[in-house]
Amino acid sequence: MTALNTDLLKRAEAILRRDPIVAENVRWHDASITLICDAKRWTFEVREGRITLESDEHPREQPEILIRGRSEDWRPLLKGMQGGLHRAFRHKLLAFEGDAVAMLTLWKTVWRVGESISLASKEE
Amino acid sequence: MPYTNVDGVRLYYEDLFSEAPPLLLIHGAAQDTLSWRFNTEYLSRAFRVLVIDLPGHGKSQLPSGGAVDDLETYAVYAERFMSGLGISRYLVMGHSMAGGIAMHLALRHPERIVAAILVDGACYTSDTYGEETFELVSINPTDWFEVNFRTICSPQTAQERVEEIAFDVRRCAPEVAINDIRAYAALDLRDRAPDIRTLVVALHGEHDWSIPPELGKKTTELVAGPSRFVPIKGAGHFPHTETPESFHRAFQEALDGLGAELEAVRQP
Repeated sequence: MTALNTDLLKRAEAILRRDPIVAENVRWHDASITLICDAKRWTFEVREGRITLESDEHPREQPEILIRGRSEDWRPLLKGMQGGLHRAFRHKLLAFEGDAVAMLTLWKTVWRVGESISLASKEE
Repeated sequence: MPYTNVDGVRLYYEDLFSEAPPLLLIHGAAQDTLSWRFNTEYLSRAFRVLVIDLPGHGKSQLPSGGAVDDLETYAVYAERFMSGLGISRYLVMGHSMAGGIAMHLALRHPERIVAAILVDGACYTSDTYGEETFELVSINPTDWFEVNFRTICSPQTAQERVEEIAFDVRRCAPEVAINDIRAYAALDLRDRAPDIRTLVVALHGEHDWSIPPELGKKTTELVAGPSRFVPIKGAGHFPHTETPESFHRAFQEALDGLGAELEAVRQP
């Protein structure tokens, strides 16, 4: 069973939509944040001030940020690792790839995606 | 407001003048004098506290050559600042990257430094930064640093205090912030630390994953002179801001027994 799954990410999506830091950060920027866990992928679309979990078959017309790792790489995040995705970037626990400008422009949202997954995992 | 000129650069400083032994406080990367706002009053009960904004930070001028990108250059500014005030012997306390500045000062002028006090600092880094990181972070250092600062606080720290720490970094010019982490990332004084005979104190938040406590402890083990390592419970990377009272107790504990040395540097 992969560390990430659609139910978990749907709960994370609900948390992200209530997050004031995300609301401010996504207001003017569009991009896709794709999470890859083992062989599976999920994408948070950031468009027109909203963040939405979409199926990965959705055609990509905007800059894409990719965060990639194996289930064992994602698990510390699910367990609430202090520093979350930001620490995963600094300590190279996950691979961060794709459009660099989009990634840094939406860095606060990237961080909050990690926090929302951690919170959603606790709810579970 | 007090300003002085060091090598053509206008530096802002605060001087809580007294006849007590001088203690120079130096802020960490992308911060300024405000980072010591919860500490100066307490420290001034026993010290003449001097606080500076490093070049390009806070109210200090950016050097004409651009933002400083190495810690030894910062150390030169600090020592010339103190010499300019006529202070020849003093204690220096540096937070985070300024722990490295304090170590440079102890190496360059051991006759002037009574004690180098590192707050979540060390004489080397944990190798989490590489050129590819700088390239990426330089796109948007302000947001990256803000997230960094928020996440390296202890999970136990009050959200209100985390917001204040995040506010600190948003005031810093992006080119100064990125050069600060370049300067910090290049820090490695492990080979030279055994030459340090000055007292070295490491005060370290136990929840700091950015500069982990092991690095501060290892630094105190590497120096030849006396040293003390004091962990601070419940604090992350900013113990002086996150838990000022615990920080002050740790500071007091670390400097206990230094009475004679401190008396010797009392100002006339």
